[in-house]
Amino acid sequence: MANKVRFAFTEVDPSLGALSTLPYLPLTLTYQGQSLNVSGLLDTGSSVNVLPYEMGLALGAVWENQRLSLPLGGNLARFEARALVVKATVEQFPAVDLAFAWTQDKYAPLILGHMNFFLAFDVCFYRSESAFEISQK
Amino acid sequence: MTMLTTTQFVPMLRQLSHSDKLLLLNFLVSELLRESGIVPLSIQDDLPRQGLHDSFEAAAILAQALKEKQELTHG
Repeated sequence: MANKVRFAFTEVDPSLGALSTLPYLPLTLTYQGQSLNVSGLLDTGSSVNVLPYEMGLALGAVWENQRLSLPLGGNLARFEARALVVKATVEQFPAVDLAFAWTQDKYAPLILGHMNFFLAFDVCFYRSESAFEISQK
Repeated sequence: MTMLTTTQFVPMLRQLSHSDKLLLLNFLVSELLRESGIVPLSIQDDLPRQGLHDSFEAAAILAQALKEKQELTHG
């Protein structure tokens, strides 16, 4: 099994081309047997993982059943967030538990931040090549 | 320097333009807030706020949630 997997950055705005590329990682989230294929933004500037509200619902999570409320900063400070732990599978790597700040903001992006994505995976960015490599800790 | 009394300066205040009266009002409110040690709301909006980059309290709660989940799974 390869211990590193390389991904290309994703072009967000075709009219801006390479200027609008961002490191989105395809992964599968699983919660209580229900799975969802998604893309998460690798954000070394975020201290936490963030899960948008609709994505949590699509995974079958029930808002009222999550008892740990947590304060988010920035644009998400206006919305309540609760902790939700889900299984995440990236490529061929074994599934890991990722703890998300599940925000009530419907328009929040799926963010993969320090707690705990970057504790579970090592990522090397090659911005000039619009690529990144990922390996499991 | 002699101090003006209220009866002396009120007629002078009346002669001020509308904008000068507003500025004077703003000055007096600022003075009162400063003397009371209260931060004006307009300045509170400018104070640095916590962002996602330093949501460390949230990160600590996520760590706790993760620990609880793993204790539940592995006993």
